[in-house]
Amino acid sequence: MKRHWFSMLGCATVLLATTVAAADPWQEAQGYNFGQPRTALATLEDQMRTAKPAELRTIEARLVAVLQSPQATQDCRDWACRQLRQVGTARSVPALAALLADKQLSTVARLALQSIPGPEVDAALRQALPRLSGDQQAGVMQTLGARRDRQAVPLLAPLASNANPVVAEMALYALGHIGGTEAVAAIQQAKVPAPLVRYRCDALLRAAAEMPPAQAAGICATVLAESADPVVKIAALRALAASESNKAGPAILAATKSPDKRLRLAAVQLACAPGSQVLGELLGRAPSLPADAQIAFLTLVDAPTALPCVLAATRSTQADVAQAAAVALGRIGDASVVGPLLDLCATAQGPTQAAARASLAKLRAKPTDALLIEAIEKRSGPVRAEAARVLGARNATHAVPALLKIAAVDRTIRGSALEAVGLLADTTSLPALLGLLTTTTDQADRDAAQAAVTAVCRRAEDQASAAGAVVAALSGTDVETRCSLLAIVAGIPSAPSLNALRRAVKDADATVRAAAIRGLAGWPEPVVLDDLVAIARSADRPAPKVLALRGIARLATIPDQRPAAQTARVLAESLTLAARPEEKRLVLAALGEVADDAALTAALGCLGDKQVQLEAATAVVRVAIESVKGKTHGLG
Amino acid sequence: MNPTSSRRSFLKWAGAAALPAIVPAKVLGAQAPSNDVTLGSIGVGGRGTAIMNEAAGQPGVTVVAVCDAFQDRRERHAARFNERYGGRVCRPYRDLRELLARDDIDAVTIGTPDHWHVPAALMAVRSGKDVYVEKPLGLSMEELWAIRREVRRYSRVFQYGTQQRSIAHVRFGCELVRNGRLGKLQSVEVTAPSYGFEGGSLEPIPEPPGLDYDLWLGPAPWRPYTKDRCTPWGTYWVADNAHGFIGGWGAHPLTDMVWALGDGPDAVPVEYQGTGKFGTGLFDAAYDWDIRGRFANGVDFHFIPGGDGTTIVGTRGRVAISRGRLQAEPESLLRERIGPDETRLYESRHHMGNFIECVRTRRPTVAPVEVAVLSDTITQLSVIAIQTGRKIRWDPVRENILGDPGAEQLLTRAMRPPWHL
Repeated sequence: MKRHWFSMLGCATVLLATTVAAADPWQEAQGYNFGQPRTALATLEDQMRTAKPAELRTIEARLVAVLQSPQATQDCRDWACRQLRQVGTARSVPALAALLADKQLSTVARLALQSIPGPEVDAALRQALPRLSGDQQAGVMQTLGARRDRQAVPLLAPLASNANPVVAEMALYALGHIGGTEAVAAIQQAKVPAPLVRYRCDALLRAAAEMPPAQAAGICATVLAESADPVVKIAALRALAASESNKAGPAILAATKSPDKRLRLAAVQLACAPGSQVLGELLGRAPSLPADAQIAFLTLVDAPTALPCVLAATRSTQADVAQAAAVALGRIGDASVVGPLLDLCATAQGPTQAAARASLAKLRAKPTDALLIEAIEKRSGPVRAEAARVLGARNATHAVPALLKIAAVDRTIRGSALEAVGLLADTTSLPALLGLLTTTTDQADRDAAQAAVTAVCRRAEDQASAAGAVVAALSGTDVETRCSLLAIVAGIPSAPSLNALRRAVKDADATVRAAAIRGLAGWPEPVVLDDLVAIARSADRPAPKVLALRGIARLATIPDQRPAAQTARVLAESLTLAARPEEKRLVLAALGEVADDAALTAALGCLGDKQVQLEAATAVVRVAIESVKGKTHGLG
Repeated sequence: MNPTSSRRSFLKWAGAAALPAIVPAKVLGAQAPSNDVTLGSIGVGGRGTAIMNEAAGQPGVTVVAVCDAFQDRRERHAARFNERYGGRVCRPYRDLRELLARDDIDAVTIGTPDHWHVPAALMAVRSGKDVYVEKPLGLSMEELWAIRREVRRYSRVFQYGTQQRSIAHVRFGCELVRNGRLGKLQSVEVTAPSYGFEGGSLEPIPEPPGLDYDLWLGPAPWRPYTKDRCTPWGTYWVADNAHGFIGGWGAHPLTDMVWALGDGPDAVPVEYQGTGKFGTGLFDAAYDWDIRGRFANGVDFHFIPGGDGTTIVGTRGRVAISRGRLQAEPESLLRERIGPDETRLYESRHHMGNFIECVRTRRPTVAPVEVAVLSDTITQLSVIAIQTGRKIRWDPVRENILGDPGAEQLLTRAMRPPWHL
């Protein structure tokens, strides 16, 4: 019994201890080891996120206490360092600096130290640097560099020649970031192994950027002259241009002829940059540059003074160069390039032609549209068709009258002109377009006019009115024209269109009737289901019946307010009307979506038909599943 | 295990002559060498493989080097390309420094874990390579500034892996905004999937054979290996390696937003305040974030998880831009056409194709480093707002946090030696 009571007491003590620990996440955190749940740490992180500024100082003090606590585990101290990145101040510096030699914790200590502002951090880092080696020393140099601590330069200078390349590179990094005269001198004096030569130049150029421009330019020029490394030369060239652009000119021009592609192209980039003082000279040399440099020049140049040079390049025998020139004309061209670009559109092929067309489409010069309209009226041959096409691409709505006029009188560019009208016109142009459509006897012209009218009607705000205008044109026209007009109205869902199609189903001419049935079969809504069933019932030839049955199978799966039973009846009748297995399969597929007994019966009835057995069985299963689910489906 | 420096690796790299592989003439093709781009791929896990393959599919591109800390990945891909090219064309590298020491490589794709993006890109740029860098960009503002500065210093071509900039309907949606079709702007809402990842094993286990874990960690503080740390999916949610999907996916819609709003400082909100959730396992990056902010012109900014898009609302309409589609109210906006006198945005039809074209022509890409920095700035500031629990005010021109020295401390992030910015 006594033992039992001791046991009970022991359990209570453990429970109490656990409760206390849970109540104090700081206490619990001190024992944290990676791999354990982070609950206590997460709780404290939450507290930090919601703490008021005044509370943050208390939190900082507790984090510092953690760092200094002999009870705190390594992983807990790692965590505390990370938190001090955000909440640390000068008060945390001694505790953090004490960890700089710790192989496990030096990086996370610097996470905090690099972030905390103030001279206390810099002093602590400088003080630690000589006592460290290897990674820990390199890490401190990284942080000194990031903090741009100029007082650290004398300490960093000898380390730039350190035998350990990790240390030497990091010293160069730090000196380069700190910059200024002393850092430059330290980098210049550094003796580095071959793999670090490029990085030493990088640091030197970066450090020089912090010096007065004239001195910086001198250093850049020296690096440029002495280095044979094209990558270094690129950086030197850019740094030189940034410090004293007037002194960089000759070097940039010389580099455009470099045998190294990277340097050559980088020089062209600089020569074409806004404010370049050597662009004028480059223009004279551009045609003699290697093709890659010519292409770069044509791609990058933005100055209008380059126009003659660019125009000349459109005639280059090298296709890539000509294409780049055609693209450039769209970017920098003025009205003077409209003619040459049109010629290029008409005569070039492939990518160059495409580039010329795209350039004309986006040319910003004000009179471009007027010049293009003039071209369709006065130029000849394929140029006119190109002009018409480009007007469409430019969204030049004011060109519609001119395009309609030319389409009416000139068959040679009618197709292009009507294509543009289709893109640009509104319904005010419908009478003219319909006039063209109803008077032409050429099928190609009729097709072009049909496409234009369709495009205009589809954009119309009031589609019923637009359809009405097309329907009105039906009377008194020949068969081909009526078919064309019916095809248009079939694409404009509206009451006038539907009425016209229903009337045309009874037309005396079989071709017109077929066009109307095609329109109804393609109608977007199930409202025409009954029409199609009637057509399928009365059709005396296979073609209209097939069209109607396909339309029924498609429309029956579109939801509307029709009861499922009605849909099932329509489809069941369609099954009986279908003569070919192709249509039966379509109808069975639609039946499978209708949860109704009649649908099931109809599908079951086809199980004996070997040609559609599989589809019938599938429909039976699908209808059964839908029925079991109790869903109203399909048209239900 | 002790976090040792990569000195041995470095010396090996230093001693290795930058030997190019022997590329058969048939690989370079008839137009070689002027029309050929030699490519190295750094980081060839899931996403890294995808972008490498996209690059390899571009005309005139030859993948001559692949690098990964996982041995099986690098060797598998190198063998695959060698089989394709019919020769010993592509070499596998464990250490990216060895790959970058080669002078015969024009460009690299960087599809590493996020914490490596900027350090790897910096080394590539400083060795004269053009870079395609997967999103997100970096883990601190200081990283973003460093890569922007170095890309300019070395005249390099940079493409940010936000491929939505090469989707026509995204461009058109942004053009509608740029050309005032929405009227006066009122609000912007950005959504990205969060996935709410908690958990992740904290149990230290031995590193798998073939993985150079020290190189995998690179600039990140040393932590024990666990089974979830180095997986392509797990890495996204470890705060030492990534910012979760705030940046990991947020980069897509944020870059679209920046495009619509002008690709300049005004496209970056000036205020951020918000919350996030944090797991208690290995995965400790914020998820389920909710950031509210404001642009300098007073337009509201809201960044939340859930969808995947950018919705911009103005007095005359709204557009919702996402990878899959463009929606607009009124719908007639979708039928608008942009005229030659209006603002037309950079047209790229293929993101990787655009990068390769720019490598050849030196044209800036559709997602240059300046854009990457603008977009990623929003990620960094959102993370800082969540981490501090305070309202962050940002000067987008001077690029500094106003009136909060504590938050400012989070703009920099020390690295584990020998790595540095």
